[in-house]
Amino acid sequence: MDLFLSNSVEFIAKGSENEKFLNYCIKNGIEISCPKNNNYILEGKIKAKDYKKLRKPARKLGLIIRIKRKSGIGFYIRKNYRKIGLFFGIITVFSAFLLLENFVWAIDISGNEKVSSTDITKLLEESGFKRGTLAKSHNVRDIEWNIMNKNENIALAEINITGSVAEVLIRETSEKAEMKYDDDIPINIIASRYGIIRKMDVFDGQDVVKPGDAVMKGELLVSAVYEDRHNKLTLKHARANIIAETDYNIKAEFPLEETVVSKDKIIGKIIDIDFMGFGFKIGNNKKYGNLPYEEDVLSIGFLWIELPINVIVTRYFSVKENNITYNFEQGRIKAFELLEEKEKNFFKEGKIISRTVDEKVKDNKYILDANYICLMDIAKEQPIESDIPWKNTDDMS
Amino acid sequence: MFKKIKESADFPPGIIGGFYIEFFSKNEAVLTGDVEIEKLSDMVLKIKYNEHHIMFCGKELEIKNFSSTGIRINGNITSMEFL
Repeated sequence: MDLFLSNSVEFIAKGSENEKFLNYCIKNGIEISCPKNNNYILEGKIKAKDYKKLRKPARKLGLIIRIKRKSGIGFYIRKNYRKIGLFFGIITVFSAFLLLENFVWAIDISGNEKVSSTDITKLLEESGFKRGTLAKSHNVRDIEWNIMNKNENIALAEINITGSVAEVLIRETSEKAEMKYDDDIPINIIASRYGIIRKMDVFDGQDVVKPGDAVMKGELLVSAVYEDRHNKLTLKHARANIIAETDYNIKAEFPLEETVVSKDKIIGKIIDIDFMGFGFKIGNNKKYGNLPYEEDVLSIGFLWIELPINVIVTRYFSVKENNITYNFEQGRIKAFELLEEKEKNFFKEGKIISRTVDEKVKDNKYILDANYICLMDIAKEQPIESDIPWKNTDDMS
Repeated sequence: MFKKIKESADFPPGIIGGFYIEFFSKNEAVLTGDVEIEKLSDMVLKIKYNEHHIMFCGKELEIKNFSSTGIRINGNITSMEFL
């Protein structure tokens, strides 16, 4: 190491007086490291500044001296001085990494399900915490407190800054249990449509009809007026499931000719470069107007480190219109698919007993008119309007 | 005179005149003193100190350090002789 820093030279001396040569050098203060003698060839290592001193004893003893190799930082710099730019470039990049390590480059948000990461990022930015800011300039406890206060769905927020990565751990509040009993106002149950009652499940209130009764729309099914165990009349929030056999109608239409607009080919590309929160756009997107586009976000990284540089490529497409014409059979199939979709949505909690479907073609559309006989819940809540303040006298509530 | 002082004061060898040899197993030997090299090869190393001649025999002998105060010999030393 010492020889490397101070520049050294490996030399070869050829002659018959190699031992005398060594002794002469030592006596005159010329240090030779690791001398080796083999068949009148002496090899050794010496400091570069001492090499010239070898000439005199070599000449005196009839030795021929040659340099075998030069080593040391001075020789290295002289040999590679043209690459000095590369060296300073490496130093600059390394220094930049050391400097930028003090900034927040990446924010990882985890633990959130109901609250979106975008909302959390906005909350952080309101507190001044975002990519590109100095890591030590933030009071993390204050930021956590702000996040928890501003969003009631967040029960706990924890921010840990490790190097240039900030980890934000979120614990959300659990959902409140749905309270079934809501006895704040008295409510009757009336029929939402006509039908024949097939099944009644009365949870609260007084039923005024029974299974088998035919009821009209708006008829009272379960009354809020209730006689409690003390034989006192009281008002309740009536609750019931009333399953009745009724009819229902669904219509589905499917056009036999339609114009479909789809993306064609790429006509332009805009590149946005986001560097630590600052954006640079390459290209002009005003000429593309409202054309459809696709965005790809590419994050730049160095080995395992994610840099705060994002390249957003937006590709714009031209549109093409396709006129599609369906024949009757195709239209029929599509119309029935639509009808089934509507049935699934409407009859989620009901049951279809029978269905009759009228099919016709009108105004270039395939129309289905479906009539159902079905079982469905016809209970509908109707609050009782009263000027008298209501007080629930049932001591079991 | 130095010899008399050395004997009466019981100085360790090498302090006043003489040389001092230290062996570290059979792979290294350190000789303290102002020595000269008489013969140098990888099997034989002859050293001279004043009127004393010492020969080291072995394999792969090499001089690790050599200065005006001493010499350090490395290698597989098989024998040492005073000539």
